[in-house]
Amino acid sequence: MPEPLVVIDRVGKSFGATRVLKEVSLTVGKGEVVTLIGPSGCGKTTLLRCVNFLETYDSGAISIDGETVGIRIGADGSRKARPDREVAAMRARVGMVFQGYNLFPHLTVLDNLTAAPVKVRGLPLKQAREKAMALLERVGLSEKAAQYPAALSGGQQQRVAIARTLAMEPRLILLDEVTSALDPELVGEVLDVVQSLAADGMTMMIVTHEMQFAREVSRRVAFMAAGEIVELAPPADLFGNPKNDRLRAFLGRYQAAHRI
Amino acid sequence: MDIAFLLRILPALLEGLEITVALTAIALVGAAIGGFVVVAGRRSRFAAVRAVTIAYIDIMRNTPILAQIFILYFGLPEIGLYPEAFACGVIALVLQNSAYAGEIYRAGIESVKRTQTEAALSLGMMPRRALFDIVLPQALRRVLPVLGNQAVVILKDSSIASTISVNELTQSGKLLLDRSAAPYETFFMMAALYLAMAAIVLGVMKLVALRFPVRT
Amino acid sequence: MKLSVLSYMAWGAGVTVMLAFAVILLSSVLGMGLALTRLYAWPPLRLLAAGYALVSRGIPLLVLLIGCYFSLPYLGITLPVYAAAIVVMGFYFAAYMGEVFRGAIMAVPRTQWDAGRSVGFRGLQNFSVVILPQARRLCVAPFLNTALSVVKNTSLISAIGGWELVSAGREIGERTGELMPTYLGVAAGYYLICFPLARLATFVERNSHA
Repeated sequence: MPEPLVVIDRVGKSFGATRVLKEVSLTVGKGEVVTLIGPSGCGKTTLLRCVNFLETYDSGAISIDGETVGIRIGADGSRKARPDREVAAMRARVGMVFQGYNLFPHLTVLDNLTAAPVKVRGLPLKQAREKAMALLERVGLSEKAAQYPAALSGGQQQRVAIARTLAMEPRLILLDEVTSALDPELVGEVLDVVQSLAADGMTMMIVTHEMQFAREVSRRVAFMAAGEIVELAPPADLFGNPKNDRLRAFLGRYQAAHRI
Repeated sequence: MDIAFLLRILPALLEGLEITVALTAIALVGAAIGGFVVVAGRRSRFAAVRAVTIAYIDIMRNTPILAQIFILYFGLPEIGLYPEAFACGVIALVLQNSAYAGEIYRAGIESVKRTQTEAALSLGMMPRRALFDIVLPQALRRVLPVLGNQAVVILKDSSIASTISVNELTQSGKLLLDRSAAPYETFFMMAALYLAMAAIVLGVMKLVALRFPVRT
Repeated sequence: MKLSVLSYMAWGAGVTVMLAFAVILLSSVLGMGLALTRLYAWPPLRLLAAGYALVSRGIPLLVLLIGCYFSLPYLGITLPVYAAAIVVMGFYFAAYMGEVFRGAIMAVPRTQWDAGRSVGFRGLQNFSVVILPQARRLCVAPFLNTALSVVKNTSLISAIGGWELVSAGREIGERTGELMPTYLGVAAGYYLICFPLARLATFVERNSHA
């Protein structure tokens, strides 16, 4: 078991009266890729967003490299929100790629990549640009550096988004349904990039509907339903020999839908 | 239409035009900056600040600028302040239009999707940085046309200053109309000058919009 | 504040409301005509209408009022101040109302026309049964905002000698010498008249985002 990077310990969250996360626990080791799957509303995206504190959580603790995310827990168990500065510093070391790419439309592709390193880390622009070009090479889009996001296809925008998170040298990357908004023929190019990140040893937490991809890239897959992790196993076991009824039903529905 | 007459009255009108341009320019800058103060207050975390700002916008929205300028020019002397007419004009224009500018800025900011802020935050930017470097540039580009319209409104409202005898274009025109026997030419010239200025304002805004297009 | 002062101001406010009402009525009728012209008439007329809108929105209302006040005697026309003001303001705001109506009609999705045609409506009937009701819903908020502007702009009538709320205030101020409270009272008067309109507009704006 590799050294733990992300420790999610009995995390709970409610949206008003609805309990969205119920005592969820999960550990992600360094270099591990863990994928969360499950039906809509099961809480997988909410859990992911709690890891970089885009969502707050009410109980339990999430820690990255030993530091609790978003809150400080006192010796007496009291929970105090961390100041903006600390949360921002933590987020700078955690990358997130969104379903809707969320590139900054008013900046060129290159400027999208240099914005954070320059403004957050204080990197000199020239250096930031060199690193950015190298990253664009890596995702295969160096010729698009001077273009604006609107001129790129969805798959290309998403690859730029991945490069943008890499520019901050994160220790962990969160991927939230990164191919769900893409036309089918563009999905492959994005998944290839994610695969290469995994091969390079990047720790990742992925939320996806792409079961085949989850199978290929993950060390472990977690199936969530109604706010809990119901089954957690390596993909071969989880997909090949599902133990939980709800998981079986979920996989069954998925296979039926894709038989067309 | 007596062209010779037109040319004779032009200098007098141009003197007034200068004042109009000065009034408008200062008020534009004032309202543009004031708008930021208003939108900041409107979006403040403190309920009291928000309440005061909303009340301010409400009052500006529901009272005519003529009343405001009279309060400033005729009312302030009663509490010991004696502002010049020009200053009253500027202050009234800025107070009124800061409220409108602030609401325009707010509409722009709220039209930028929350996901942009989330992307900025997730890259490690502080909330204020995300607002100023990512949201605001997009917001302002989106509302440029509306801001342009508001600028023309400021230009037209500058004519109100004539009611407290500021010697801007409308006042110059009024004096000419009083004295001359050719109202058509005077009126025509006044109207043409205002239209020309409005066209210039809108033209400048168009150029700005070309330089900073919305790119979605 | 003395009762006689209050009732004098109230009378002024009443005149303001009546003037505003007349202007709103006139400008709405003209504005609707303008909107339809710009949308559906013979192209040269459309251009004229567009030019009219442009001119109205580039010249200050005060200039138009003053211009008319001075020109009408030369044309031999002696209109009472109120009538002249209502006509000028009516034509001025017709441009704005025209934009409101035109914008609302254009905001009804193109697909609605197809929908209407596909159930058998044609031309004028399609327009009045399918498009107009939807446009009506869309135009309420900007219409109210324009109406608000009309109320506030009636204050300019005082600049050409018409008697309304600001004039009432000025007379009271000159008589009592207390200008600040009087003009604050005038502002308060406008606030009271405009407040319901503004609230209604905000309410409509918020609820048309369903």
